[in-house]
Amino acid sequence: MSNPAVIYLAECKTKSGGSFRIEDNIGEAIHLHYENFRIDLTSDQFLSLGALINNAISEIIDVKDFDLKYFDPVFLANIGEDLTDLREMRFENILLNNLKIQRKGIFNLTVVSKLSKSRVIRAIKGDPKENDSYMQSNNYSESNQDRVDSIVSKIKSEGYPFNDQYIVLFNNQNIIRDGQHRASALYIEGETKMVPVIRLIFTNNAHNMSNYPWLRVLFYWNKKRIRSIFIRFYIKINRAIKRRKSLLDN
Amino acid sequence: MNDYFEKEEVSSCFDILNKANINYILLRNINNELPEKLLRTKDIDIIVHKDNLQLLHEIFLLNGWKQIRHPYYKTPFLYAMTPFRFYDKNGLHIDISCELSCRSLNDGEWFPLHQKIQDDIWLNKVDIKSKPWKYELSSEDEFIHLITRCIFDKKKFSKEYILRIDFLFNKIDLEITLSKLHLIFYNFSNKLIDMISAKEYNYLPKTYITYKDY
Repeated sequence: MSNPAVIYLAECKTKSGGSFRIEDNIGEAIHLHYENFRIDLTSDQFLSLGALINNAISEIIDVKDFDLKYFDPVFLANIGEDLTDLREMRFENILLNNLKIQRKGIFNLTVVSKLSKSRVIRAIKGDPKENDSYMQSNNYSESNQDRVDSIVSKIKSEGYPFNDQYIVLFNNQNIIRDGQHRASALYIEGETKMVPVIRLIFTNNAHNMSNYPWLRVLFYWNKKRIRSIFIRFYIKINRAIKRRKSLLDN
Repeated sequence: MNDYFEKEEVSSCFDILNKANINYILLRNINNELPEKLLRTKDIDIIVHKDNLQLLHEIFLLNGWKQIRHPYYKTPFLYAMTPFRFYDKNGLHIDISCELSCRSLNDGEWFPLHQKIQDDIWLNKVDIKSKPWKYELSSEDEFIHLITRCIFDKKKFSKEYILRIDFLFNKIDLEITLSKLHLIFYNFSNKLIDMISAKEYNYLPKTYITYKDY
């Protein structure tokens, strides 16, 4: 309890509803929590465990050319469950101009747009407002602008891809699933460039993004509302019928 | 209007507490700004014993102070920590806490330091005769408070804090201080002292966050 330097490295619910959490208690130990069970590890033990799990994942995902080294670990954690549907992995070259991103559009609704409208490109060009308001899930203690500057600098000094990590697309969509910062930095260098990407193909085109995500927001709201209105209406009708029936019986 | 509060305004605040025998300690006085160089944009920070909190509230209200919303009212307080209180009189603010605390690295929640440290601040408080306030933290407790404030709350060591920490470093009992630092920084404690001794303040917060020898 007395360690104020506890950073949650990962947290999730298991399929059976159990809670699982990994904490870094700086200076003390790494804790793995599963329900009421806790494993204490040193940093080295934790990294060794990570390497073991990496090997296990590589063996489970039996797809040609698939290798964890091509992906950002945080991105992999986010798509972990999806990987069981992975059918194929391809390296392709694509025109930067053909890439798309999700961004906040009018009324702050999520829309899919061309890469040229990316908040990261605007931040590189000196307008960081939208990018600064975006909530990062990792890169602890690095500001959003620091992250942009660091990627731009890395692309300039090491080229792309660096660290063997590629921009990632899913199925037949050109919506960037990982690598918006890298794509934006490359776009500034030359929007008509062809760049190598990884395309992950899932069974039945699973895990595609909607091209109109804003529709789902409206639709979701209406679906809930319509359902509750319908239920109330049904209950009222039912009560009216029962009242009528009892009057007639009397 | 003067940029600073008048000495009498600041002293009168402490007079009220002293006359009512409130058990409190001045938390910090960076740059010796109290009692006559307190900028109008700054507060007085004190720590009050939990048992005296209600009495302090009543005494303040009786003397024309108002309790107002604390600037950190939205931030959660962990482990049953007593939330901060904030009082105002004519623009002079006093920030009241009941425990030494710092912001958790997780989500910035307020986190009380180890109970031994909390108990020790009352046992070790230093009687001050020459100033308007009655007590200050001991050198060791103030040293720990300033270090945790810089690393966890401010995430950097500013010039004024470095000056004060350097001053305290030459006064503290290192063994006692280290034993308390271990309750917060664990295996990093010795490295922390080494870096302070070498005046590597600029690198300290990042070195701590990226520390992995445990």
